[in-house]
Amino acid sequence: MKVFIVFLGLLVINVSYLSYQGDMEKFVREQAFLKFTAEECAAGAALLLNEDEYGQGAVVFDYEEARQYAENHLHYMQEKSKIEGTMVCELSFQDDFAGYDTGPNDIPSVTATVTLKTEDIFRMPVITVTEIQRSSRYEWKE
Amino acid sequence: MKQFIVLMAVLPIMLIFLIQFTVDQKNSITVARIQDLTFTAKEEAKQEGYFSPEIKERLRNNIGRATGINPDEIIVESEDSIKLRYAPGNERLIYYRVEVPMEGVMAGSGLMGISAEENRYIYVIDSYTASEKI
Repeated sequence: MKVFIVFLGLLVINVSYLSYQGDMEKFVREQAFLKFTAEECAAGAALLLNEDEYGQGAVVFDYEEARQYAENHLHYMQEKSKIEGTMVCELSFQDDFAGYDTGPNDIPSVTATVTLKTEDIFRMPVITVTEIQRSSRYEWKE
Repeated sequence: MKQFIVLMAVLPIMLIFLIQFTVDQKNSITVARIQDLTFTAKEEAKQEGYFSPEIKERLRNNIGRATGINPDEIIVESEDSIKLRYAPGNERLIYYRVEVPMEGVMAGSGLMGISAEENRYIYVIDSYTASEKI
């Protein structure tokens, strides 16, 4: 009986650790996925310039088109990856219209922040993660 | 003697756990490498305007070298036409799909009656990127 109890104890510890390891892998993989998605949202959006403004020498992004691109990409990625939860992408722009952060270089850029809200990723009760957020910035150097 | 028999019954189960920890770790690293290498290939394709045969071949070989998976079993699908940055609408998008077979998902599959065919899955990256080729 003693051996059986020890065996059960070891089994529970091993199953718990295996579950934690699997969830942690999922967590890391989803973070990488969000990072790549944010990079693509920022990069794709940064290529969409307001041509009228550009013709007059100003670098101004096409905000509406850029947001549409990010939204479409997010929708496509969520559908293909089958990641559960709600994903949203926020874009912030730095250009000749929106202005620049104080700094030595005025570089037009688009920053994408992708947030995934989901059910608790970790099945173990001691760890709770229901939100992952990753950002990426694409700079537009002439 | 009784304890020895119990040990003999319990030992394989415990060993499977130990091996499974390692297998999970290995598969996790493999997936991370596939993601990184695909990301690098995508950045090259953005500059070229498409996944050229050289980029596809290089991606297959790099994944094969990094993970030990046979490059011939890796599928890289993408359109062959060059996409341009200033093309209208979706014409500037480069769609791509990478499929990599992952084997040995479960440790001790033979002991648990899982066949080699059941003990594998295809890891897929299906995405698109905007071309930067002028």
